[in-house]
Amino acid sequence: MKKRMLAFAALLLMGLLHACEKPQQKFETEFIDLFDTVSQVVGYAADYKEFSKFTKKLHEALLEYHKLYDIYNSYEEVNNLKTINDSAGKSPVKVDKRIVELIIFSKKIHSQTNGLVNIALGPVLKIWHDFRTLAAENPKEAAVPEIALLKQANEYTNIEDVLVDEAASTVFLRYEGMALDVGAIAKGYALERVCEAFEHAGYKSILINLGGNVRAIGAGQNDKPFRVGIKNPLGGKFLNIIAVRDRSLVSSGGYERYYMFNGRRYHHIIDPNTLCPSDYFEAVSVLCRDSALADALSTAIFIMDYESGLALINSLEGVEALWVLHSGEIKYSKGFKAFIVN
Amino acid sequence: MKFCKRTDLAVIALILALAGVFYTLHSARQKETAAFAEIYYYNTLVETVALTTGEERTFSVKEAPNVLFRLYKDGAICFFSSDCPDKICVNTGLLSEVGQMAACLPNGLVLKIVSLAADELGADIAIG
Amino acid sequence: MESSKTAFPKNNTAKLVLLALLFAAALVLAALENTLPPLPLPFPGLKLGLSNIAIMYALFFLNFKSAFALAALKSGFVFLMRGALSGAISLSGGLLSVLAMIGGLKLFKTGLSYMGLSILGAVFHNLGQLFVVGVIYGLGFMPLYLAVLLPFGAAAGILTAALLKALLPALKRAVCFINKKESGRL
Repeated sequence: MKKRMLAFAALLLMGLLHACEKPQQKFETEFIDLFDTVSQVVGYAADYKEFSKFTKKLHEALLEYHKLYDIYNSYEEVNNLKTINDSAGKSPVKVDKRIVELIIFSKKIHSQTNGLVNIALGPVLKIWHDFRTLAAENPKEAAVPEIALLKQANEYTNIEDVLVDEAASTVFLRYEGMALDVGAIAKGYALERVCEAFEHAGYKSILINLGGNVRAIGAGQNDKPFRVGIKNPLGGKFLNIIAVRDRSLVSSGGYERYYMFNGRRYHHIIDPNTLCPSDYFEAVSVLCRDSALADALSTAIFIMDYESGLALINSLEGVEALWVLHSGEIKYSKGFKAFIVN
Repeated sequence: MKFCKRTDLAVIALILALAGVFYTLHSARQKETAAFAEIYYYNTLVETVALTTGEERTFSVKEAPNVLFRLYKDGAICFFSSDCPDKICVNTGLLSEVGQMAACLPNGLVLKIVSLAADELGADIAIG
Repeated sequence: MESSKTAFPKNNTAKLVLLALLFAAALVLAALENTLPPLPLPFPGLKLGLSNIAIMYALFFLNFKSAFALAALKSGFVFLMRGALSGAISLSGGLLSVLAMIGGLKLFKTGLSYMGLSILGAVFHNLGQLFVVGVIYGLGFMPLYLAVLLPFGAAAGILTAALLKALLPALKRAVCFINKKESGRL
């Protein structure tokens, strides 16, 4: 009798547990108004209402960062990076602490990468941006900027002249002609901050792709890691599918933002030493916990030769990377393959 | 007792027929779960494109007539041409794997590859 | 079943000894099967189920009860060796298999030969296992797996029936031997 009761109780308990567990469904959405790129959100939720409530909050949070870190547009309600650029050589600008924190982080990255990732490179990047836009609008007029012009712009790219007053929360570009461009860092940084906040709020199964910056909050269905496909820049199937849980995966490459001139591809990732597009790889990917770091490092190792890049990656704990050479050959850092699932 | 009787053969035939039924069910389900492309205009789904028809065609959606899409015989699809200033959409190239996506932000268009099936082998998101 | 008289143990002790012998045979056959190279199929879990030979013998020449007992004992052994999950899978497959063979016997009487019954047993053995695996892992309805499982089960059933036929003389001799020993001692 006792045994039967026990068995009955066990059955009842199992039934209850089952009833508590709401089936999680997969939902997806895109944002096209953030950071001049397309963002993709995949998440598991009990129903669409719950998911869209989340994506609305996510969009609001990211939009705030988008406005703060925008260098092309001004917004009435807030001083942003464009305000700082417009006031270069004139006056310090009082800004939100999220801008101050970004610039402090960027300075740290600048020294960590021996100056390869430099948010003060704006004047040089602007020239390339203008040439790229011109070529896209009218391919016949495509051209490459004169090196003298680039060198002249490079006179105003010293990150030491970006003056930050943490206490007053102001930023000042010392000389007119200076300009910040945070394209290599801002997306990853904003994504990391926003995701941290959602992690603290208890979210468990979200995967976000902010223009090549992928960040996972928790894991996917049945607590299995999310699967992130790395596209082969030379075409065809995925290079690899990577298992991502509570982690970031960021790719950098010259295959989307580029223009053609004399049969050569001129992309958007500029080497501060040559002031020209970097030509070491087709693409690189960096895998680590922090999306801001992954974003910055993916730019950094894209403009370094493989040996230096590998040394940099190996010097950092918990960071792995993948390089796609022009030949199509793929190189991995030591621990990367452990994350490949295919 | 004979090793094999007529009823045995009937049982075998029945089992094989059942297997055939299940296989047909399976292939019907496969067709249903094959990948297809979705085109969004400012977050509204405006076009669904079957990828496995084997035809090759160029088309546009009425919301953005200046953007041409092209579907290839092998089931790959891409932004073929666009009037946008940066041409990032066209540069993104061919899409064929579930999880891949391309976008033309100036025109508010997103093209992505999806599958109805809970795809155990595809990717949740694609980068690079 | 003309052979049932000679193959039937005379008393309870003989029955018990025979059952133990069959259980041992089932385990040996299962172990033997495990040493065979895995079948070159892209589907996990499809097995020949050689130990079904012992269970079929019990079913055809002893009684239904001993067949059930053997199936349960075998899953008990699997439970001890490989844990609760494997045990549950084995139990579900074993019981469903015996039930299917009894169903075949009742439904068709002598219309089905050993082979037909063996096929039923093999197919339902696989079905029972698949059912438990599907429930535990939440796999849902898998038509492709079923489409492969059914013909495979049929083939495995034919094979085990043929093996049973080949082994019958040896088993009969064993039964005679047990009977003789038993009556000698009494």
